[in-house]
Amino acid sequence: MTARIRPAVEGDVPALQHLERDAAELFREWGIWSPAHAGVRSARDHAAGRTGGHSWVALDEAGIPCGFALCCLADGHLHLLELAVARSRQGGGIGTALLAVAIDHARWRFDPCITLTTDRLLPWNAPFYARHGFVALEGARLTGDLATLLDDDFATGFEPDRWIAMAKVL
Amino acid sequence: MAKGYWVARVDVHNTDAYKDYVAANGAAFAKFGGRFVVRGGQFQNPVGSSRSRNVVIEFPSYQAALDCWGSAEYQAARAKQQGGAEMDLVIIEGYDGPQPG
Repeated sequence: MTARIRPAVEGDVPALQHLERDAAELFREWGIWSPAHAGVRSARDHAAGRTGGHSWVALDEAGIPCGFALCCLADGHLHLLELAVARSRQGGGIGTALLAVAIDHARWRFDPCITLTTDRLLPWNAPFYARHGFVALEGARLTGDLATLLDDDFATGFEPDRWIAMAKVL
Repeated sequence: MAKGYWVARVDVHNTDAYKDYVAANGAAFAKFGGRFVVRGGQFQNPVGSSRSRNVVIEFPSYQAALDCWGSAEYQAARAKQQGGAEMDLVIIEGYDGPQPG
């Protein structure tokens, strides 16, 4: 399928929160806890992404949101806070297209890298990002805002032996 | 109606300031219907001079392109560059008449 990607607008928020819950169901199937089971990215998170110009929505042929990428800033560069695709549309390249938009935007901003946190083992998580040039950051390479974001994820409930930070050098 | 365009060539010296500009200018472009036709991208400069980054933004009309430049929104975004970039900008009316061939 093809998807058109545009910047997110305020009216997208309920649909994006629904998408996040829908995408998180796959975590449940694999027996992995996801924060979307408890709560999704807040309207404040989405507003900050829109204001910063780093929040994008993928639309299906009918113009319905079928995926989104939401970034924030960490240590001055783009950090992929959320990448979600509707379960019915997964495997169709929408996540890859959204990730490409985020990477392109980071390059456009002259960011030295783009970062994210993700599950180490799930195939659509760390292995997916590794195919797109992301590498895991551990130990002394994990500092600043990124370390804080990872700690926040642990506090939310992600398992420290599964949840990792990754970066792609641009 | 012929569209309007910004044709810009930019050298960025202060990437931190430029990030603030990038984050802020989208609101101005959106307000005046601007859309990127060229945003970076590979290029060659077979003759004359060039800058490191090239941008073409299309507006619904020449007037909209002019209005965007003069808007408080864009000028506020531009101020965030804090002199961190050198830009050559042409605001130009498009052509919608007959084409060769």
